[in-house]
Amino acid sequence: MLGFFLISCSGGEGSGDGGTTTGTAAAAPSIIRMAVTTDPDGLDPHATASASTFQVTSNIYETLVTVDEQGVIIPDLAESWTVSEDGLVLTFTLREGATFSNGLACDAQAVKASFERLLSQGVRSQDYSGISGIDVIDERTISFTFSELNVSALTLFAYPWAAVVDANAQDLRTNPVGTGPYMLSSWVPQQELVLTANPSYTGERHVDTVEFIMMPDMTSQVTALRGGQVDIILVTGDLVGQFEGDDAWSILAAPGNGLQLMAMNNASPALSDVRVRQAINHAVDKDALIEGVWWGYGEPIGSHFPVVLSEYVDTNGLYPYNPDRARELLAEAGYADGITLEMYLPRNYQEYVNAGLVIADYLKAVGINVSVQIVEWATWLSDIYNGRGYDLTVVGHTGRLDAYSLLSRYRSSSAENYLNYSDPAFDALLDEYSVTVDEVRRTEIAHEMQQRLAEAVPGLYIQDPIQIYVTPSSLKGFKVFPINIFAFNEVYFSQE
Amino acid sequence: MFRQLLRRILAAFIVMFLVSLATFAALEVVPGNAAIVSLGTEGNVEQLAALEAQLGLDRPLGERLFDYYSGLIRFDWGTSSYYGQPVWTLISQRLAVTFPLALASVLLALLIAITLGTVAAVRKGGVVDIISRSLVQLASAMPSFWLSLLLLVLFSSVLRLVPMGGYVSPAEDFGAYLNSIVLPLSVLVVGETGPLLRLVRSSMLEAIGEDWYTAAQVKGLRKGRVIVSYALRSALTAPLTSAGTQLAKLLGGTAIVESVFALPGMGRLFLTAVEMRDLQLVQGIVIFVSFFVVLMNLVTDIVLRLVNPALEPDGGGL
Repeated sequence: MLGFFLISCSGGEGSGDGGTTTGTAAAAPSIIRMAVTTDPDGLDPHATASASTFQVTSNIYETLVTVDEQGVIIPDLAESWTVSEDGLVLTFTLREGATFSNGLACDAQAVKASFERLLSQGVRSQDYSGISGIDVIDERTISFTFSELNVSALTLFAYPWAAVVDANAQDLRTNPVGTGPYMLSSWVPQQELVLTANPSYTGERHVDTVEFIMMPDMTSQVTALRGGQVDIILVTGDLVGQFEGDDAWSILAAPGNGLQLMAMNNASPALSDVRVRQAINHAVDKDALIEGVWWGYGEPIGSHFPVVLSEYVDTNGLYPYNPDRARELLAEAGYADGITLEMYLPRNYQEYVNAGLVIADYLKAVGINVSVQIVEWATWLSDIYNGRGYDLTVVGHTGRLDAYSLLSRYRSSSAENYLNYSDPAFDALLDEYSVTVDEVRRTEIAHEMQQRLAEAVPGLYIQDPIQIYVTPSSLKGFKVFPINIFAFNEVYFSQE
Repeated sequence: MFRQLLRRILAAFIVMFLVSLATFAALEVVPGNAAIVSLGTEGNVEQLAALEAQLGLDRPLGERLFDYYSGLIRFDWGTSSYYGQPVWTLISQRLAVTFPLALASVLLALLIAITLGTVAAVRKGGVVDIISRSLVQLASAMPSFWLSLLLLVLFSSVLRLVPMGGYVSPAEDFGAYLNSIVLPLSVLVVGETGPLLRLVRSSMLEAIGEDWYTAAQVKGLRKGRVIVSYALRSALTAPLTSAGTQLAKLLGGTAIVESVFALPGMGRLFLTAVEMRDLQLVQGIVIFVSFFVVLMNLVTDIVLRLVNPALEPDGGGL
């Protein structure tokens, strides 16, 4: 009886129909509300590097290609593509009838204008400097020519910062114009951002309205989810327990494409000695650290490589927890009487602060005295990341789709090499990777690079964090991708 | 009176200008800028330089100062580098949330403090005195974030009396608006009442200890009239001054309470502006709030003189 009542009740409300509607205005009116902690940094995908922006803009704009949950490249604005024999020219065929939300056609000319905008003023323009020519073949065909071979060139077109925008639109930061399933309806910073269906989009879409509700406090988010005021939240490991084993909730816990590490400044006197870095790795019980700081929600890693990428190789266990061995190595390096290192932790990331404090305790036990300073995020970015004035720091990185873009920050000359790591053999491997077309050999090189990092330990690689999303169990189709995007057009409410 | 007002307004502008100069200087000295924060851990030196040029951060300080103040004179508060929206739009959105909340909480707190404080002073050592003093102790021992969470979990999650989920504008749905602010308002009232009550009580005790109070009683005036018309009037100076300052302080926002209740108030905006090194927005809020502090001092003075005409006209100071 109760079951019948529930079914008829929700049928009466008509909230979605199990996901068979595609893009018709007649679809049952419904709404998805996601709690987020911060606002996007504007809605112009070319003008920021902020994940909070891309999670919103990936629903407003499309990229030429995109990825599925496994990171495999799939069509988006382009329905197909070809790569020339020499690998230097990529040609995309656009979806027929692609139209911006302002009604203007999104043809090859518009795509060209968007990429010219990205190249001239995008904050990521450096990543695309290999593009030497953009040619419009016909209305729906566009080709990109690269000056030198880059085997991961295709992935460049999948990242959310390469989204195709209407380059002639004014002020995309507050008035975004794209070809995606949704468009901006309203945005009151620190309150809510509302997306509504983009009428010119004809692909899959089940829900007409998507709301991002800004809630900085995690307990408030959990309360809001329980009270039915939001439908999707991202929780930390300590808060997930209350939802476990309860059929009313679905928990989506999967390793994200990211990694967290304690970076070391390889140019500082003590840390330039590999034995000291190895000692630090021996001194820390990684499993206990992950258990203590992340409630066990993380996959331990041995090098700068998220476990979700296909080229991942397990390099854990090279330097197991062994304080005695750590003391021996320190003595060999000439630090039998102990050393003092400076650790800087970013205040805005409580988990990194906690991890740093736990690590400092482990290090103290083997004779490394750590003086900890907790600094504001902007200060951290300025003095530690860009200024490289530190010994130790704990931070996280978002992953990329291929080993080259992920690991190129370890190139001796890289401007992003804040660890000051320098290994000519590693640089050579990076060079080789970028021009190796043979996939088997490329994977070998990726493994070799991970192995080198795992041995030389320029940092203490901690974990690939597991992201935990909680939703009511009636919400279906919510996916976690290896890049910072959401696909709300695939989300729907089932009536089961 | 008019000349005095004019002098005060002039002084207010000087204060606001100095405060904003100090803010400029402070943000110039602290490490990091809007471009660095925007790029995060995925940027490099070339990208940084490009973004700094885009945001105009590479221009000399004098030039930026000149641009800012010449804009301000034309009531152009600039554009937030983080949100990309006009600073004035952001501040006025926040003011609509923060001002009613701040005003209501101070007025309610004053009402409670005056009532309880007067009774507590007149019947010193009585039931009301003991209970109100204990409650003040308790209230000041409770951190506002803890009380906020407690109320939230109780009324929102367990009893389900009020919704959990941010702010509803009164224009949209007045009932829902009241529901969305009743808990934060309670937290603020609890926080504000304590100090005010203590002030009312001690000033009242002082007033009824004066000779004229005894004289009035001896003369046979009714006790209630003596308390309300004479003692309370003279005792209100300190609490009213304090309430004025509190109101100005609350307008600057209460970041913690706003965060817990997901209210889009001034405090959260200011916090984000500083963290993101959003210079225009920080400036806008600082100038706005310092204007309010000055204004509140003025209003408090006027109210005080209305309540207690015996006060000396403020001749010397600002």
